Amino acid sequence: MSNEILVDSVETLEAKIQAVRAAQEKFASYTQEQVDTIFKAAALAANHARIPLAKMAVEETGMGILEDKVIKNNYAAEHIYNAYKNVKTCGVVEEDKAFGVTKVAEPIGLIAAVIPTTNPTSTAIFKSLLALKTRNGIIFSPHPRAKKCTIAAAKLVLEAAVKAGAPEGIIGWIDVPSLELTNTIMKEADIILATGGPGMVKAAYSSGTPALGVGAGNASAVIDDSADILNAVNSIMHSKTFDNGMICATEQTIIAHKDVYDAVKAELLKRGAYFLNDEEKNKIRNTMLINGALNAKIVGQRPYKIAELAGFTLPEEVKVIVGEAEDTSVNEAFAHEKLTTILGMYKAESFEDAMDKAEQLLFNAGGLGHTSSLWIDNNSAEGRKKLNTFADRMKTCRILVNTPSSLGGIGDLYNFKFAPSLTLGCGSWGGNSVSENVGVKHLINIKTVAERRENMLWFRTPQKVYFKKGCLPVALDELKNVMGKKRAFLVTDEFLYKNGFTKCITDKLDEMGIAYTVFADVQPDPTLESAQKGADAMRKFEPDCIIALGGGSAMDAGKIMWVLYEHPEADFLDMAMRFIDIRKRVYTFPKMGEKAYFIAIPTSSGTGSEVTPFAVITDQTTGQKYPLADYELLPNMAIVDTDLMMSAPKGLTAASGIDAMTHALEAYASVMATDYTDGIAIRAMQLIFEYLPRAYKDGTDVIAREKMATASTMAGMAFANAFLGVCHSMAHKLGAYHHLPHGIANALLITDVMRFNAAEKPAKMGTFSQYQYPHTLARYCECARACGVTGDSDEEVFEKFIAKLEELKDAIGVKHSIQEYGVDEKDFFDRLDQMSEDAFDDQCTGANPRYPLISEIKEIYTRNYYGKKD
Amino acid sequence: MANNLEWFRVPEKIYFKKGSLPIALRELKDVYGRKKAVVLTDEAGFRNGTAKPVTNLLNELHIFYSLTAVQQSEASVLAGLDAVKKFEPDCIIAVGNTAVTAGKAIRILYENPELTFAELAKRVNLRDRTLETLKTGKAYFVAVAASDSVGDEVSPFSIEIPADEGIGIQDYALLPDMSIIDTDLIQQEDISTIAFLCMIALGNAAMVFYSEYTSDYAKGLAFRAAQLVLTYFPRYQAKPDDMYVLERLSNAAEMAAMAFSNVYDGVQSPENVDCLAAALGMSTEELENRFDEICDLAEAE
Ligand SMILES: NC(=O)c1ccc[n+]([C@@H]2O[C@H](COP(=O)([O-])OP(=O)(O)OC[C@H]3O[C@@H](n4cnc5c(N)ncnc54)[C@H](O)[C@@H]3O)[C@@H](O)[C@H]2O)c1
Ligand SMILES: [Fe+2]
Repeated sequence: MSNEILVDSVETLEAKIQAVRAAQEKFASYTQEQVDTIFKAAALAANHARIPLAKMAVEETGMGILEDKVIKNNYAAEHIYNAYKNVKTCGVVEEDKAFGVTKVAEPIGLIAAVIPTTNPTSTAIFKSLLALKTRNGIIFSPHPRAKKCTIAAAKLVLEAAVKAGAPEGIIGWIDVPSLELTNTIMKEADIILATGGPGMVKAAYSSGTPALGVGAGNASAVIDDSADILNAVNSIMHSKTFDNGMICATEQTIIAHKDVYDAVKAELLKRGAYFLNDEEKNKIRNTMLINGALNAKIVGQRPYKIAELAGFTLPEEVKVIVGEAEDTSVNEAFAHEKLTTILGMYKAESFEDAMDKAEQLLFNAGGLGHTSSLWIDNNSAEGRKKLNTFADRMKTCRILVNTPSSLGGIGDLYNFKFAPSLTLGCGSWGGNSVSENVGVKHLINIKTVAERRENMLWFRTPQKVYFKKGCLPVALDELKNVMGKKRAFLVTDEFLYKNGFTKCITDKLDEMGIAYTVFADVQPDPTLESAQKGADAMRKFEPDCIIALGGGSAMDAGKIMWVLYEHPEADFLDMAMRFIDIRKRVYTFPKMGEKAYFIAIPTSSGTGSEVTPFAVITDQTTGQKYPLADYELLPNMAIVDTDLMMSAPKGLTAASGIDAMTHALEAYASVMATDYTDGIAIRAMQLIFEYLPRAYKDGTDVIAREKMATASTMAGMAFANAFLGVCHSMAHKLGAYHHLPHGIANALLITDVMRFNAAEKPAKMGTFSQYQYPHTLARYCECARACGVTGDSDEEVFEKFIAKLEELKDAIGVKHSIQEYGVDEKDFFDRLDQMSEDAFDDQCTGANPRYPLISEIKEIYTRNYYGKKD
Repeated sequence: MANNLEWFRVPEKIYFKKGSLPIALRELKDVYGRKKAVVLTDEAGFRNGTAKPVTNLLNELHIFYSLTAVQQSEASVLAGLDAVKKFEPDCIIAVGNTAVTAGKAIRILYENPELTFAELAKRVNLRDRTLETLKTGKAYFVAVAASDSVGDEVSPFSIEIPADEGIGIQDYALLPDMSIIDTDLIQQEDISTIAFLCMIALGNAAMVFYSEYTSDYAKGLAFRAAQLVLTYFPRYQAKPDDMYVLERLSNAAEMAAMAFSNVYDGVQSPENVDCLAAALGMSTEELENRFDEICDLAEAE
């Protein structure tokens, strides 16, 4: 039906567009199997007609060579079919169940196909086949001088396709082409597939319709002094004469190294090239370009014809005309794209100079983005180096090596992973949207169906966690008996060293005959400087085992020294870089443990540092704190011996105990909480409620001390895997700005932060795939109920839980406001804005279930500066 | 001396959640630079392609591998060992309960060539710290949970190997280096499979509360595991295709196994659920009833 419309006006074209669109709508629902049947039948039919179509093309256009056009038609049918026969182009084309991603291919709709005179039938075959494989409709706008043969090719493919089941009229064409109709189809189609000269491609891109337009070529063949001249010259001759030089990737100039220039010239002469004299050169120049544009009459012609046009005679058997030139500017005609059997030839002083010339030709005379070719000994190391430089410098999307560029550039003939195509993208350099050889993937829309997936989670602890009162010497036994360690380095602080805390370790090391040294210079909030000192001492002593003994400060300092000892090259700024996902962070932490085994032994119950992958270090010169977090920092062994904790003063017991409680609460509320961390966090809370007041009241209560030691390590394990929240963010800065002990800072803020987090209508909730809706109130209530709180509603249970925490704080002597700890009011509020912003930017904020606004952090600080008014 | 030292030991890396396998296995290449793997499955898995998700990934990572079927028996462990020795892998990946169990023994024998099976089979007391420590480190050992898994991915036991020696071989050297629990590899349709998993989890949790060597670490995990089973098994019964529920139950099994592994003393006590019931705040009778119901479903084929 639609075939009967003769398209010769805008009205008839509109009717045609409607008809093809209707056919395409049907085609869109075809299955892959149906499509593949049609694709095959169409390719077969086109291949059968390769000779008649070639004949028509030569007759109608008067260009090119029949036998070569046969090859092009054959290629367009066979290589395209072979390349895409098994490619999925309909419906689901890719599925990854594990990651929950499905890719669905859909047709684009109507393709406007513009066809050049140079390849009028092969390009028509090529584009129709692509359209059929992708379930698109297509309308051809043939070149006026090649319309009959282009239409014949399109018609032939259409008939075969319909016979194989394609909808009637799926392929259409303009019967009487004109600029107006070409512009109309380009405007109305869904995508333009434009092959042709720069003017037409520009029109395609300007039409407002998405376009796959490809630009002009102007390939130069650089011949290095290492090249195989025989192969190079004959391949270039073969390539240049193919269809009288009309393939866009064909060599337009030769740039030969001066050392081989004469040899190249001799071989060219021997194989039928003719070198122009100066007078003939000028005649050719004048014929080739008319007002700077290529003279259509010389396109696709034999040399004797061209000479005739230029006003001199050449024997018929001349295969290629060569014009030697020096000027690489736009003024030199031989520098341009010629699309015929004329070659320009330049002499290069060096390989460097050859690349300069090739580059100048591209920039001055056109062909940017298209094709370059290089003849070189690519088996030698030097040759490969040159090839890499060449590939680096040429702004072309095809860089062909030891390959005739016409048949090489269209792909699949001289390299079998290079996609076959008759539409070669030139990238942004050529003003195109594609840089590859155009194929089916450019003619489908891919929908990505992405199902929500949750992040992988983990549970990681030190390989060995030993505990029980008095276990230290027993655990250390392994150093010798199992691990055969010989040199231990002890890190601790001065207080602990002077008070004999290290003695039980050094006695044991003596007994085992392990050499050791003690570094007892750790300051509270350890500094980079002291860590560096420790690492220097380590480098001198060369320990195979590091033992960090003390509170969070000594254990953190030990971890940092460990890093500096094993990786002196590591950069702290990089290591401390803020990240959203510990597994996707930009910085890859250096591998630890190659020089020394790391043992952490806590002497206070609180930080949990013995089982965490964290360490905080302060740069003494700037006051900047670097929080490091990476599982490489996880100690290899933790030894939790209550004997070391019996003497902790009340203040330390209280502050570190409530710190541990905050760890458990924040880990439980964290967006990264897991069943594993939940179990241990809850147990830790239960223990702290029961035993912290006892340990505080009576430091000699062994059971209470032991349970608090366990609770603190368990809370550490919980937050080592689930991370913390905004209470810690704020406590960190409160500590840094106003020198409040870390545990106290947490104690002052935690209940108010819990209220903030429990809001059912937060300003913003945390972002993490498994965190689906604000449920923190219910989560806190799970903790509350596990700790014996009862009530009728979640709200009631939550309030009672908060009260229970306040009670705990009172029982261990925590004051009620920041002010009461002696923080100056004016100073506090003067620096509050900066402190709030810093707290917001703390690494701990990311895991908080409610994403805090800076203003909200400020409010919490302000409220708790004055504390409860009662 | 009874015990002047307690401990908590689990595999260095435990990875979980639906879809975690491809992300976790990538570490073999990216972190550990491994090149050659032996992949173990049981015989049914060998026929049915249970290890396919693993071998597909190994192909993608360009890790050369050999697939071997094993059983839970001395003979099969020795045959598997032979295959491993010939192939000389730098990692061993066991998929599913049987393969994990046999794989643990194969891996240790491979890494300690002087050790005979008979000697290994004598190591049946986890708490005996006088035993010389066995070597590991040559072949990275990854345990991947599949439908039949009940927590052996995180335990230092090689259950029922040999068959007549109580629970089987026990040694912390048997702990996998990495455990992966990806629910994509667990078929959830079969109620008896899931009930069996819950039964083992509850049994392990009860043991933890009953054991003389119990610890707060173990209790924290066991308590939560029991809570998860009691909360989510009924939800599973109501809606067996809920991925979220399956994930919670498989976590429960792993957590209970982690807890149990750290308090086990060589004696398997009766199903005494008193202590667990008390911790959960339910009567012994109520917990026993729930337990029995799950056991019945587990045993009904
Ligand atoms: N890495 C982590 O996971 C982590 C977690 C929380 C805190 N931290 C860091 O830990 C540091 C704070 O740790 P901290 O609160 O343990 O302080 P700390 O280590 O500075 O110790 C505080 C004081 O208590 C003394 N002390 C320790 N044990 C004692 C005992 N048994 N008897 C008597 N006195 C004893 C110490 O000598 C010290 O003077 C901060 O730098 C913080 O950033 C790290
Ligand atoms: Fe803390």
